[in-house]
Amino acid sequence: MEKIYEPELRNLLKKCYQCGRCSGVCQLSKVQKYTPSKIIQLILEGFENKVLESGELWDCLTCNQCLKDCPVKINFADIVRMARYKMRHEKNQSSDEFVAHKGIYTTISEIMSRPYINPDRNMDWIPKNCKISDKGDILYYVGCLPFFNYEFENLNSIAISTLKLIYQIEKKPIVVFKEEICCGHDIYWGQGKLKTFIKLAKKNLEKFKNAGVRTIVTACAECYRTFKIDYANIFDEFDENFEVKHIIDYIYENWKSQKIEFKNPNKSEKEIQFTYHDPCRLSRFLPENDNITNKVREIFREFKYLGYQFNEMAHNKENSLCCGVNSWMNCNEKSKALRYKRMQEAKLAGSKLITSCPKCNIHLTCLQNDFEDLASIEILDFSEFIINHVKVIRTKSKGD
Amino acid sequence: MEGSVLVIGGGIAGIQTSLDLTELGFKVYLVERNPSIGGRMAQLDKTFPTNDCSLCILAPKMVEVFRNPNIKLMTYHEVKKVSGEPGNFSAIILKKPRYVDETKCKGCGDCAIKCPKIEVPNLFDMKLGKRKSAYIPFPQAVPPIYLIDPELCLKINKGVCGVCAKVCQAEAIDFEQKPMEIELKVGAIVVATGFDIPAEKLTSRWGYRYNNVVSALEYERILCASGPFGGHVLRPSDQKEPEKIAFIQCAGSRDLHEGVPYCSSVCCMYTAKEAIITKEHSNRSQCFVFRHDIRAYGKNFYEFTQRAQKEYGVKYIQTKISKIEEDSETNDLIIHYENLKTGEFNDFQANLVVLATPLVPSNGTKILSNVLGIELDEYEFFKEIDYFNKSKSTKDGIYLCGFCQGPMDIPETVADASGVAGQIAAFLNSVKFEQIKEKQLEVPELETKDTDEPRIGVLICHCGINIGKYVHVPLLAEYVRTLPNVVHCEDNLYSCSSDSQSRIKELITNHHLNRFIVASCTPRTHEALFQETCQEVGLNKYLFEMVNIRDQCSWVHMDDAEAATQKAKDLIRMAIAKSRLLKPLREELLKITPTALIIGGGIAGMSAALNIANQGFKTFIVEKESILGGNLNYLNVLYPTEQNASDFLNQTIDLVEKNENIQVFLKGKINNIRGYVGNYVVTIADSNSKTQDLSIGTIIVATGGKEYKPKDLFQYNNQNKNVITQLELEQILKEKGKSWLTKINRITTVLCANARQLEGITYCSNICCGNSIKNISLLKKLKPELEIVVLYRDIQMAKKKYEEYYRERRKDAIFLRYDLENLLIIKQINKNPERYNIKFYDTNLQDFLEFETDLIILSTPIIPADNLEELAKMLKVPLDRNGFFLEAHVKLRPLDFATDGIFLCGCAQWPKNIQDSISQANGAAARASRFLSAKEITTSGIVAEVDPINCIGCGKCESICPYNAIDILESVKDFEDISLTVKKSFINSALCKGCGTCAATCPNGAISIKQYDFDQITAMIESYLLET
Repeated sequence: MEKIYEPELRNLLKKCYQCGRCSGVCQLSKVQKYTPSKIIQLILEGFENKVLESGELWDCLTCNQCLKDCPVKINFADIVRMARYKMRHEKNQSSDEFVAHKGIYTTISEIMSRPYINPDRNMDWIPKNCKISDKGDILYYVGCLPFFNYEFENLNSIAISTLKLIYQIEKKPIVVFKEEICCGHDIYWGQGKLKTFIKLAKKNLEKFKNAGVRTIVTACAECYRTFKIDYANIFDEFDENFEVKHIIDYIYENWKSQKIEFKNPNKSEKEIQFTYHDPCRLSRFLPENDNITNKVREIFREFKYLGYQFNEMAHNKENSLCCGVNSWMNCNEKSKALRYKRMQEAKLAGSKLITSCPKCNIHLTCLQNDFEDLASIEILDFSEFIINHVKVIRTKSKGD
Repeated sequence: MEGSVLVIGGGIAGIQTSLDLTELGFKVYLVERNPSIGGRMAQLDKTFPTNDCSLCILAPKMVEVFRNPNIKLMTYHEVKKVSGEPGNFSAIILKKPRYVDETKCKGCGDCAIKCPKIEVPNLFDMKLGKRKSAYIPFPQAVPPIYLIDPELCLKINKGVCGVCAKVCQAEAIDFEQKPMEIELKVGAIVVATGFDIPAEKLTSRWGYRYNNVVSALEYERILCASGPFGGHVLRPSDQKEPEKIAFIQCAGSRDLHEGVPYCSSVCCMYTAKEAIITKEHSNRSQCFVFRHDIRAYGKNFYEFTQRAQKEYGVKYIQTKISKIEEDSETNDLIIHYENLKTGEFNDFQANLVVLATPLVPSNGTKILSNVLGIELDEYEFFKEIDYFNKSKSTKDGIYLCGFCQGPMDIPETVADASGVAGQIAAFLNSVKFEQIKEKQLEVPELETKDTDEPRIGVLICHCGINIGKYVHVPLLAEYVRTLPNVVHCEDNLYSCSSDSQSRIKELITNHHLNRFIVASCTPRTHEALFQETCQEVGLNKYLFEMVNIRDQCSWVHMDDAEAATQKAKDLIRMAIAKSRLLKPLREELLKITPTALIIGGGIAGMSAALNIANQGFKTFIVEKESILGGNLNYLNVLYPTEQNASDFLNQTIDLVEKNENIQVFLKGKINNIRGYVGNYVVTIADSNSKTQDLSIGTIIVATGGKEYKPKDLFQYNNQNKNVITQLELEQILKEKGKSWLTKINRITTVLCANARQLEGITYCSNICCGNSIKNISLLKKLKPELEIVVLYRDIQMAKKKYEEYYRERRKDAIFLRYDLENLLIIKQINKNPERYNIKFYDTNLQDFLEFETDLIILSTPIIPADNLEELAKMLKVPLDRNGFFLEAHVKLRPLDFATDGIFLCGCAQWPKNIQDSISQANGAAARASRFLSAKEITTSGIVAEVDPINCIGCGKCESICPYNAIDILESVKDFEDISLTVKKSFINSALCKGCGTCAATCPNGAISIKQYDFDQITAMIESYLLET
């Protein structure tokens, strides 16, 4: 617990010299009154109680835009996460009124954290020609997609595409857990239920070990960040035991090592314009040496030969605009305004919008129901976008 | 004139008309000779075609009657004498002794439990079950008051026993009761005495004397979960499950020699229902229906009989029964019958036989007709004064509704019942509301703030020994006193008694209580009483909470007092947890604009308008054509009265045009409808396309239907002048003399042309058979030497007098039966003069037949009027899959839409004849004028509420709301660098019924139901889980 929680919030803020950049760049502040710098100052001055009691920290998007621009690298989102824990446990506040979909998804996560609960997940989506196993060295960690599919349409196709990609390349059964549980991301960031998060993490670690997994591949930006950074933070030697890869990473590596190439058998005359929405968890939330933002662009540039023209949106990479909702928190008209801004940028950049976070996908797709002028944009996951353009290169076996 | 009405008969007809009458402003005396209201419908297991549990949909209405302060419920009473004039009748009512004081009996049933086990057959269970001397006819009986059978009672007969008096803690037993006469003054009388099903009167060949031959109503009781066999389908002789069950149709009906001459009209449908339910009970059972014609002419009826066959595998055999005998060894039945398809005589062995026996006017009808001085018809049903005004008896001021005037099903009965109420409202218009009690509260409401500390009072009821024997009430009270915020708790014998009400008021005042809880029986019957008591001392009625520790606690845990006590503790603790969070709610008064709009100026629309206008309300008719009258304009002669259609129509139009309260828009069009019940603004374009806005209180949809034109079917097209539809024939008969028939020698009428099919139009249009049969005799009169062939599938002549009407005309034509499997093949063999060859499969002959004909008349179905989708959208009401308007409930709300304030009648709802259209129109007028009469309505405090901050405008609530109470409104919202169109849900509390569907659907938790909000429900759950 001490690894992820500092009871004295001001200890984390001491470097602040009130330059106010955080409040200037705060994406939320564009749609409602929100001033991180003021909150920081209040805490530093000893008014932490007042801040917590006001409940305003439930509003934060935890998009990390402020961290990106902070000269002394104060991690405000992390403060919010810990503050939420305090608000819940010390101030007896509930996040219920801020959670969308009546909190069903976070409730599912919470249920899965219990030691005796092992979900029996629907495996019907697994394509017939993909073999899976419950032990092995490569794990495809599916995430919440099959649960979302009850409420949102066609999200299985992300899981199907991803599993197909991995199986094509590996040509051996891939581990997919029938009893897969939640990574805990939303509980950790949105709900401030840090102890529940630890329970989930321990349970997951156990499962990884039992299955003999070495590499964990996921198509979800949130799962990726959670394993790669947060689990590694909690568990010693997590890094040594497991290699965590986002599907972008995974494809990039295989492409670079010439195991796969990109082809388009149905290349059309007219170039298709497309753009890419960087999820915060794959940009601002990763260490600077983690080059996913650049890797994905390198792949997309290659797609030029496949009849696709990649265009950047006005805000991109570390500066990309937020999808509006984090951890199922605060779906409201302000969040819609944020999404609308993002979609307006996307509309100018192409007819397809690629993202690599299923939640960004859900939130942006949802907005299309409200605004006819946005309905024409096709929103695709990275895996869905490339699935038909990946060809495995057959090298001659040397008979080892 | 008296502003009160005597309603005789407490079945569904009497119940509906009583409820409507009170809402229209009249005091009602509801006299029922049995100990409970509910009538035949209460005995049914389920109802066709939706298979709703019959009592489940009826019981709320029974309770509503019980609670209604303006209905004097007089069960176990009989009408002895009636004198006086219309508007001023005087009636002597005999009150039969129950030997139980109605004012004291709490319906606890302690007397029946202790009553010695001397039993007689229970009439409610059609003598299949048993009851004791002290009894209640059935658990849901209304009023919930017991009675003692004097013939069985040992005390009354022999002066011994009297144990009931000893156990009755309410001291309600009174062996000294004597018959009593009561005199009533009423303005009008409604007769709704229903039917009997005297199977014992059948001739011996039907075998009713055998144990395992039961009447259909007996079988309903066998099927019913609360019936004599607890819902297991068993046969009476050995209480074993029958495998082969034979349902015999027309057992004594449509029988000119032995039984009754008319068709009982509902048997085809209830048989299909009973067979389906039997199959649902046990898949092993095999159901065989020995049928005659299948008469399934109501909404979705024909499809229902098809489902019975296709989905449930019920076998239908077209037969004639010669006799039914018993195999004395097995008690099985041998049915000797003729198979009408093959002509063979066969025997069929069944384990159980269910007879669809004739439904006849109820026993005592003749005596009552003498008491009232009104006439009966040839079948001893009450006689209507005029065929097209069937709700009036032969005496002014006395009205008829339901089965007592002829065979009909429940929706028709309900529509009739409302129609009678409407007619009486017009008749007694000058004395409306004179005898209506409206409770005025004298005490101003106490203010309860959210911040006030909850001060809760709890009253726990023993309900005689109903609760007290199984739940340890004193312990319970002791426990409740320990709970936070409970200021006072006590227990008593009957919380519903009038001294208990005084006690509740005392407690609230003395202890300064701001919440009150009664833990007793069911809120269904008693919540309103306690709420009223609270209001009388100024406590907002929504601060009252009721806990049912009887029906779902003491009754179901009779064998485990400890567990029952624990459960009662849990239930009360949960209610207290909720009670703390209760908020006083406001009921809003909503003004009603006293005007009505009728959409459609056909016979239904005009009849509805006349009724409402005669009640003194301004009424507008919008008719899209340039003349009033709708389809009636094209008709020649009306069946079965043989009246000239134009004369009939002109009389009605004349009445409409002369009525000062009616304004007609011919060639009118509705452009827009805004608002809600009582407050609509309707934009109408008149014949000059000039628009104006009308303020409207209620709307009646009477858009009618039209005849289907079967293009390219059976040679029907523009070139062939001698292939015409039935309506085209009407016009020819109306306009041309007989000269057009000179070259025509043989005419063929094809019934069910393009109707009752497997796909496309699957339904039966109800009126085509009658219409075609009428025209046979008209044609024959014009040219007696004509040869007329009728090709039919089933003849739907199910109403009173229709059977004879049909039989008389049967001799004028050759009737040949075809079936759907082998459709007719019609070829033109000569162009001028036109001549056709018809080839078809005669199901009676079992062979193909061919003949030639000069003229073909196609009876095609009625389809909905044009462009109804647009209107439905404006009204926000649904259409059914056939394109007719969809009513709120097919059985009990046939004239209402789920949305308050909008009603329907006539062919807009379903194809129907003129008599029924008029009856429905009167009914719809009554339903609509309830709102107009009330001038203002009170909305419930329990409504849904949207939190606009959390609402994301997704619209899920709007699409799911069954009452159309939700609108999604758009507004533009400005943010720092962007403007956004924001949608928000708005709930109209005038239309909201507080059902909670929207709150459950809202993905963002933005909707809550007052009195049942998430905090309150969570508090209850937490209290249960965490405080055990």
